[in-house]
Amino acid sequence: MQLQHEDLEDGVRMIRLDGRLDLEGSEAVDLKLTSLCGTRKGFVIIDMSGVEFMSSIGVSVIVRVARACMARQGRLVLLTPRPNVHDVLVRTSIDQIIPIYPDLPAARAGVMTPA
Amino acid sequence: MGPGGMDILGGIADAGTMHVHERVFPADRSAPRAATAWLRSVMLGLSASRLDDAELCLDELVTNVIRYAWDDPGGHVVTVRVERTPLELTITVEDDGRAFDPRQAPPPPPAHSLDEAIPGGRGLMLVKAIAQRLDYERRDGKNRVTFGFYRDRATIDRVPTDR
Repeated sequence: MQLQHEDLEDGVRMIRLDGRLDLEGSEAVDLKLTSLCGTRKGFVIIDMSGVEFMSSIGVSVIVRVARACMARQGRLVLLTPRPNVHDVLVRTSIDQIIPIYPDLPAARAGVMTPA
Repeated sequence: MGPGGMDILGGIADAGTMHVHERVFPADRSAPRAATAWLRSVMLGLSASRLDDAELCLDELVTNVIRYAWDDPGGHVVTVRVERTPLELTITVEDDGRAFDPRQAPPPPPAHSLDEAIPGGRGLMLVKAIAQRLDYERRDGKNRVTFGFYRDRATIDRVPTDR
């Protein structure tokens, strides 16, 4: 599981995940992800396009960091999950509480929109 | 050989139209990944989306076992058995940990906002949403959880489920 991040000029933090968000993968990125979402204003886009697989453990991590962003008056949104990962977000109804965007411009606009 | 574990039946045991595969995995953090990689290596004739479903259910059940079945999973194993008939696929996960009937586990409360959303508890919710049946038995000090579903998503609409 790999994690990269970059800060965009408008203060939005972009995090890209690659690999499997299963038990091992989630444990591998959990601390890093939590600290990346907890140290700034809390406007975060997670690029999910490199995530091959996500189980409920991965969902838990995403929910937890989304709550951390919200606690900082920020917002977390997801960008382009693959169909199997999107299915998991829909089946757990997480798509109802964490916005998912199909492209970067939409995600950048969405992350700054008050919930 | 795939990651972790060993073949018990040495591949396919052909019992008429039923194909059975079984493998034992060390009960450690890598077991969910090893079990799903093995599943992908043995499954034949499933559509890509159905294979995704099977992989997710197996990952969830093995993950639950690794996290909750023992205080210390060291030295224990998880056995996975896959049975394939023309219509149905069943997967059984067996462990010798503390008794746990997944059918009795309450679903997480529905979250209407991020405020109310609790992070965990969605694994069995996913399995129950995907599988057509979920069985459990406790025998000889072992948990045996079996989930089954039609191999083809389209079959769900054609076959009455109340028989």
